[in-house]
Amino acid sequence: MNVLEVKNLSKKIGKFELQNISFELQQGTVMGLIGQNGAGKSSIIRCILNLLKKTSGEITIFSKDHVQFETEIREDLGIVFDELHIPEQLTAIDLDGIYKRVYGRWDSEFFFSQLERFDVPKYDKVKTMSRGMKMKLAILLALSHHPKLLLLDEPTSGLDPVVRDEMLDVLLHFMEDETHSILFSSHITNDLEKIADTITFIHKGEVLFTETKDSLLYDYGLWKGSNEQATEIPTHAIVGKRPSAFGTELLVKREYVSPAFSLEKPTIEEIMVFHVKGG
Amino acid sequence: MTALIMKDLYAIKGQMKSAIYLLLFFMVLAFFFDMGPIVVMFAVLFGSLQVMTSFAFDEMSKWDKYGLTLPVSRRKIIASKYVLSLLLTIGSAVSLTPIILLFNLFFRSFSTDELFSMLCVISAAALLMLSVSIPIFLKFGTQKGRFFLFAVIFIPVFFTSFISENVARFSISLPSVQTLKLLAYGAPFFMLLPLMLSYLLSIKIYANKEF
Repeated sequence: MNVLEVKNLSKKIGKFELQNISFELQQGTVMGLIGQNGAGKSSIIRCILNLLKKTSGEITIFSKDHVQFETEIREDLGIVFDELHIPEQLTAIDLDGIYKRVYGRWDSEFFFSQLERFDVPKYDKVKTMSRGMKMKLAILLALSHHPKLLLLDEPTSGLDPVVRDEMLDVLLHFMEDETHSILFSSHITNDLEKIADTITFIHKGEVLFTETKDSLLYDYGLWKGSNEQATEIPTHAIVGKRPSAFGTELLVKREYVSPAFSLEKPTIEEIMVFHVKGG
Repeated sequence: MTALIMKDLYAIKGQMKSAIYLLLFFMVLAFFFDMGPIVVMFAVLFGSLQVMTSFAFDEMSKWDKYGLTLPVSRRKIIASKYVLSLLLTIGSAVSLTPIILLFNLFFRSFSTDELFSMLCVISAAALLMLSVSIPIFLKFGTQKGRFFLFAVIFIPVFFTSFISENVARFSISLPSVQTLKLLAYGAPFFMLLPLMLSYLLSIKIYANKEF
């Protein structure tokens, strides 16, 4: 069952354009949206949330139109942006008072227990909190009404490794329930390597591919050698190349390359970089 | 909608505290110098200015982008700002009246009758100001909006003072004191119409806004 379907989404934003974006997120899985800054990842999430009005295309969440059933759908959505976006004079206690009047299933007990677990102060104003604290608060706010789908837009950017790890733990715990799903946009591919099941690669407003993480890491290989040896690799196998200290590094499709060539397993970051730089 | 109003009240709470101290200081000062009406004006406008502060706080934190991901419609977000405007304008007029009356017992700046008609006229002016400013802030933001607001407020104030100074020259006959009093008491109710029109305009502006 798909919890999120995006079909032929197009949106013009100034000179930039999202073109025919299509992907599906299955229930119980985590999809990573990867791409460079400005590739269109955030714009896609903003279109899904109807913060940006799509020019054309169809978006359904829980099999319901994302605009027509906007408020109903949001009861089951948890959202985290790259910032907290809460007026800085508010405290966690204030936020609990507000959110229990907003969400039908707001769980104050869960919220306060998680604040304590992650050392987020209850009585401090948001403006006095560190960036790490703010982002932990953001994710706890997104989880305390027990949503079914999390939409995360670069939530770990600018965080130190310890806080990033804590956040990923929270997300892994969330995914223990098979009815839960996550769409996670990030340019920090390490984070996605840890939790994503599928990867959708966005480049210049278009989807380059959607593949499962495992097949992505298996289908591609990283070859390193001299420029001369590189000529022996069939050109249709080469996805991207870059010069290295020893000659050339190539990202290749394993199926087109003879087993005689020794290939390393690439990281998602390397797959992304080679795709962007081209063949 | 209660939640959204609470969010604004929590956000402006700190600012309100310091503004109340400042207001009390001005009150004492104004009564000493026999400038009672200015105190009334301060008191009521003080409340409505907080609505503008709430817009500024929202803008600083980019709240709308986040607020619109909650299960709340765009219409309710706008409605909450208008209810907040009415609450703060009427609330500050009502809650500050006993304090003004108490001060007046000692200083005797004006009659109770004068006070109430003044409160009504100033509340009406505050509501009119909010009716104009809310759609402007929604359309242009608080930074740019302020300049538009200056123009919108300055032009009518300029014409009113120009006409009142030249009543004799234009041979305008002023209505009787009784009629003026009636008009003053009715003023806040007359302002409900521009407030309603402003609300409808704001809904239209906000419905098409992207974040």
